[in-house]
Amino acid sequence: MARRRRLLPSIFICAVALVLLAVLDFSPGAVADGADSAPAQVDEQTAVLADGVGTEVVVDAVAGNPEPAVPDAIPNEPVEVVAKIVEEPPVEPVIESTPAPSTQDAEAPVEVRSEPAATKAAAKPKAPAPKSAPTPVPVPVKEPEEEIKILPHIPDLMVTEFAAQVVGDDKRGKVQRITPPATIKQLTADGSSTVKLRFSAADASLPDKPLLKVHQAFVVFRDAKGEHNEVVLAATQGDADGKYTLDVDFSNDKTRARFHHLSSTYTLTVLLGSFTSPRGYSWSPGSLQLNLPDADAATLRPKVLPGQPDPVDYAVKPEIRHVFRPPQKLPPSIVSLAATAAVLVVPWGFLLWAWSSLSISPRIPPASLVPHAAFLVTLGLFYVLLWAYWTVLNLGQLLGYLAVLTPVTALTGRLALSEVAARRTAKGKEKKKA
Amino acid sequence: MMARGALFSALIALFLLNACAVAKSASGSRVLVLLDKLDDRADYSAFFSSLSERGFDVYFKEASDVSAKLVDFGERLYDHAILFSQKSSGVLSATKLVEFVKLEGNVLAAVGRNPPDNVRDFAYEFNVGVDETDTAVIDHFNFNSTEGAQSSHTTILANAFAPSAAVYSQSTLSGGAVLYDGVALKFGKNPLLLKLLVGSATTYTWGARESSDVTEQPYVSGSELILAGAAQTRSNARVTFVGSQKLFSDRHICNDTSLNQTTSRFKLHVLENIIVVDSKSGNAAFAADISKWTFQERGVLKISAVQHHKEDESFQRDSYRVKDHIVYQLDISEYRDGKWRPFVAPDVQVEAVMIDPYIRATLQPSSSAKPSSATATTYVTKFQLPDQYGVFTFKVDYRRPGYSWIFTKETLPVQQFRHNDYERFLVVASPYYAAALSTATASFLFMIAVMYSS
Repeated sequence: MARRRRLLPSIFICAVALVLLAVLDFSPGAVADGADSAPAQVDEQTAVLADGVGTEVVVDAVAGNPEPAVPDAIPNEPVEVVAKIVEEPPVEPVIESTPAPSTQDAEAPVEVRSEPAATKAAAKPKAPAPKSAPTPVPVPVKEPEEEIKILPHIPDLMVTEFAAQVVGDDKRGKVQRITPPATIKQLTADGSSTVKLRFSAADASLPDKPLLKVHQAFVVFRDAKGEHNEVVLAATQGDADGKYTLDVDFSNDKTRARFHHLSSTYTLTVLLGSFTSPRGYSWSPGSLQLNLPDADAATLRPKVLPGQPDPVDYAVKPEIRHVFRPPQKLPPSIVSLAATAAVLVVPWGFLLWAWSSLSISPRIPPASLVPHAAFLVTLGLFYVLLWAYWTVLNLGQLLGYLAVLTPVTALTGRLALSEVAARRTAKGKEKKKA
Repeated sequence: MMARGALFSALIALFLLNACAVAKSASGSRVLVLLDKLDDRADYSAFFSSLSERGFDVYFKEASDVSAKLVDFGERLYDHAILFSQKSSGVLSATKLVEFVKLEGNVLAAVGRNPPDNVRDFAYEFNVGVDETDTAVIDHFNFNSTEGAQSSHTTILANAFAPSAAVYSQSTLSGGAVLYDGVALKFGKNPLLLKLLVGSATTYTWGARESSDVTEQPYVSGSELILAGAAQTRSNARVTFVGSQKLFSDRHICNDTSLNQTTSRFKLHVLENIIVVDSKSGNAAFAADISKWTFQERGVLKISAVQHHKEDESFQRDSYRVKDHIVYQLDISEYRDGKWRPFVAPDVQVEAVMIDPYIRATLQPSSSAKPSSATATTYVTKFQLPDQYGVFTFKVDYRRPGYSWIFTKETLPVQQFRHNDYERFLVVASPYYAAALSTATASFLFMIAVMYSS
């Protein structure tokens, strides 16, 4: 009794909701051809799906069961239907017509349940089906020349399970299993480990998120320190369709060469891409700390990192300044100056002392002053010439000057010395007489 | 009368020559375009008309045309070549193309999905690998979605340009993404190769049929996937390979695109997720920049006016001495927009080499000492010659990606000190100087004493 009372208003509400969904068309009519016959076929579609899914949804909502009983109540039916549609070659994927089903929507169970109905409804032309969805519509007679337009399902890619493990020679790391948006703890690998990654690609637009075979299932290892190292590795198909596996064996030289022998922290990014999906999916599960042996890096690591010009040829080279030989070491100038003083003082001192003990009384008669002066001047010029040769002149110039000076000096010398000689002989004769 | 008539006609001829449209390329204006059929040029009318506007004489020939010759009797018949033929190798084999490049001809080769053998072999000569036939570059994240129902993940949007000011103008670098529908290229270890446009982390190459699954590592992916790359030979001939011929087509040049999902930059460590809506593809700007760079209208450098002298002199000697202070200068110009312009760079270096470099100094662009002319920048530096005598080579070898390689060298002897190049008077010899002088003085005094003593 009480149950029937709760049933009636709930049925009415759900019927109104379905009618509204059918009426509110979010897209411009995508199917241009066969618009007349399309409603009938589409109704057939919705009718099938509604039978399979719609009524059950209503029942569950009525029962007040918040959890989706979908996986248990409907074992495989909707999955099979969807799988058939996915594997057919896509015909005119209509990107603009779909309201973008985001991953946030996928997580809310209530909305997901109505999603397939909405997708099919959105793909319909503008003429809505005003009749309530739960009641089955009799299958209309198909005209033979009309093609059955199977509107392709547009999947929304996501990763459902992600597992990572680092296996070494003697140790096995823990298997970390997560689902997005969780992240794994940082993996650590060295030159002898293998990093095993397993993940599954699924269709987020469907309620039970069936596994989906995608064209691109890559894992990008990006150097977090910004050394321009980015390695993209493709994951291959694992046990089943939609499951992908990637084993990165760092004991293999080729793998290390792909990583350019760079030890660093690499962030992982999973990329999923498919021709039927309008948008790729990228998600970062965590990071990997790679420690390759230092010797390895020093000898095998390329001088040129990817993305940078070769420093040998194309970069500024370091400046070289020549280091000159140090100047020749000489004894300190004090010693030289002391020696100079000694050289000057000692001989001259002796000479002057010796001369002082002699009696020198120069006597120049005034009449013969001129030749004596001339002789002394020319003699002095010789010494001046000696100084000049030491400082300024070269041999040729010197010889030139000497050629002039020598006869002049000879002349004046003869005059002066002959006068001295005459005086001395006169003095000697006087001494003899006396 | 005759002389005046001759002079007049010579003047007329000179005037006419100057009035003719002169190509803006630094190395000539004759372009040969090879197509499968002559009618195909209508598909690329925007690109070819831009070439004509830039002053090139464009000659169209079919690839199978026997008269399509690039080199005749050891001389180039054309200055540049564009290879757009897709179906057949035609008459020009890879060997003939290489011969053309050796004679300093520039080549722009668009490879496409099924490249003919001669283009594939020609690319291999430069260590550029082309993926197999019936493969395509795929990107599920960056593709052209304006084609609506025909939106295919094989017409991708690429904007990972090489950050090279020599190749790209600022408007191209910050402009729209390039529509690319073609095959992937991969570079080998050739130091003369230059990446121009690469894929992002999400780009890869696989069989063009969508049903084939990715079962192993693709031929190339990520930023190693080259969409457009070039090789610049040591004689500065440029050969550019672009993996998509449709990039130059009218449809893609004039196409509107709406860029979706991720865009990634050339710096590999950053993957920026930006949703941008552009209305115009960057194909026109990209094609213009690529063809300008390949045909020597951009990024061309030359050295002129190399000069050296001692610091306190102004004339150039043909030999110097150990430990001389030298001033070394030269002028560098860049060819851009049809004229030689001053080229300013902070990293031009001169080396004094005798087997190994003894000196490497950075040349400063001079602005004050000797003002640069309107066509060149003067670079000056001063250094002291090493105290090693011998025959030195002064070299400037400036190689930067995107710019043409410029090189100058001059051999100069550096001689040892002459006997009179050393210091003249030494403090350490002062006792000897004093001794000699005092001996001379003493001898003079002694003579006086002897002469005048009684």
